Amino acid sequence: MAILSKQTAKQQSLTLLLVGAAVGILMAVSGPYRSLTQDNAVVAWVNGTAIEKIQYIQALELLSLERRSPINDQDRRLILNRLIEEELLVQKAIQDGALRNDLDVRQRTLQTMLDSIQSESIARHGDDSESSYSAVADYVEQLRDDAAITWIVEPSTETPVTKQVAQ
Amino acid sequence: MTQTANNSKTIFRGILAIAGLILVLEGSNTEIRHLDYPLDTLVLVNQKPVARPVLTVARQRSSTLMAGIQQQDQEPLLVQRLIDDELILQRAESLGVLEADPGIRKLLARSAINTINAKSRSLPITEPQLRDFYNNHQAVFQKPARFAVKVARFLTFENAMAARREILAGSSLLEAAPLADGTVLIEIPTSLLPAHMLRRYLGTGLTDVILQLNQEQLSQPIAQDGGLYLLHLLDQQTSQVIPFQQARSDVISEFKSRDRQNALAEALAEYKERADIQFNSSLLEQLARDG
Repeated sequence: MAILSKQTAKQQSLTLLLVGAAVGILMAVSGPYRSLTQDNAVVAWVNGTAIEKIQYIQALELLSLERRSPINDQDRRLILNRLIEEELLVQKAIQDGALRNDLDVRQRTLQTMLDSIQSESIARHGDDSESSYSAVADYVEQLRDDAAITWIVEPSTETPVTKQVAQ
Repeated sequence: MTQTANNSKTIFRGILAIAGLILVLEGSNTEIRHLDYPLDTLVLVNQKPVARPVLTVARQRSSTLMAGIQQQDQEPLLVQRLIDDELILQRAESLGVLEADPGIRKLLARSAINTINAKSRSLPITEPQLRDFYNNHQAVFQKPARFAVKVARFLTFENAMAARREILAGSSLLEAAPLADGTVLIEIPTSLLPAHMLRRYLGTGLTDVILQLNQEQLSQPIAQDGGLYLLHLLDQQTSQVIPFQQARSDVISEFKSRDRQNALAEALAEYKERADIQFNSSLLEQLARDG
């Protein structure tokens, strides 16, 4: 009798485990699709990156300014396709390391970051070049403190080193 | 029997554990770093290499700024600057600045296009390829047909027909048009114009009619935009094919241009095939309905 109830309990726990796993898998699979159809700010996703409704509408408005005739379904498909292609190119460039290999991208990104640090400083302390400069210096100093910097070659001596200078 | 059952349980648990680990790794945002930095790496900044070629470029670009600094002091300063740059770039990545800033996005897209173009540019072009291209795209390498026209706009069909009769009797459109009230002579250069220029002045509909006229032919009144138009083709020059040798440089640049376009189209098709693209169909339909 005891063996029988033990077997039943085992079967029940196994059934529960299977049901739980099935529910988990279903939730995992249905999650992104549900959020996509319910998200009214996104027209498409490209490898998980959203193409927002506002981008799509702005692009359509730009096209309608150039065109004399009203926008049709073909135009809408064309615009959506262009936005998807732009996103794919952006993703490809990032994947290929354009941030570090392409001088224009590198310079523009650095400049954008510096501008935003300086803008924040101006918003806080007014248009003072000294405080803007020190805001950038403080920001970089904080980044250095949090960074793991490992020297492979000492630049002045050209000799390989293995020690970790900062962590 | 019990031993076999125990073994099976252990194997089953092992498989579950491995599957769990794989799921965790797949779902995680953590990048697994390997010590596979380039051989010419100077320093690793959060495991990202700052390599010698970057230092060389930085040295070239800052030669004027570094003019007053001793040679042996320049390199440590530059490397420190590159480390700081790398830290800022990493911060930009983590903040999602690359994806969010429209200017950077444009540069990234251009960078990807340049990489695709560089691959197609490196392929040599042979003479037979150029000849074939020229023969298959004759329309591109010809002087376009040109037309000299006079156009007048009338308010009524009667006025348009009266002017038409005058012109057919020997008057010019210039003389015949002012006979009626509300008639306007459309301002177009009197010189020979290609079809695309006519379209700019007159629109597609009227230009298409002009392209059907014979030299010195006068059209019937054409109703458009609440008026009636008379079109008089005064002179025309037919299109002329430019000989290969004369057009050679244009053939090369057009060949390269189309090659770049094809390379980009192929690359985009490949990216799309590999990408996970999902559409919010209900929203797209709603936006189409809303106009």
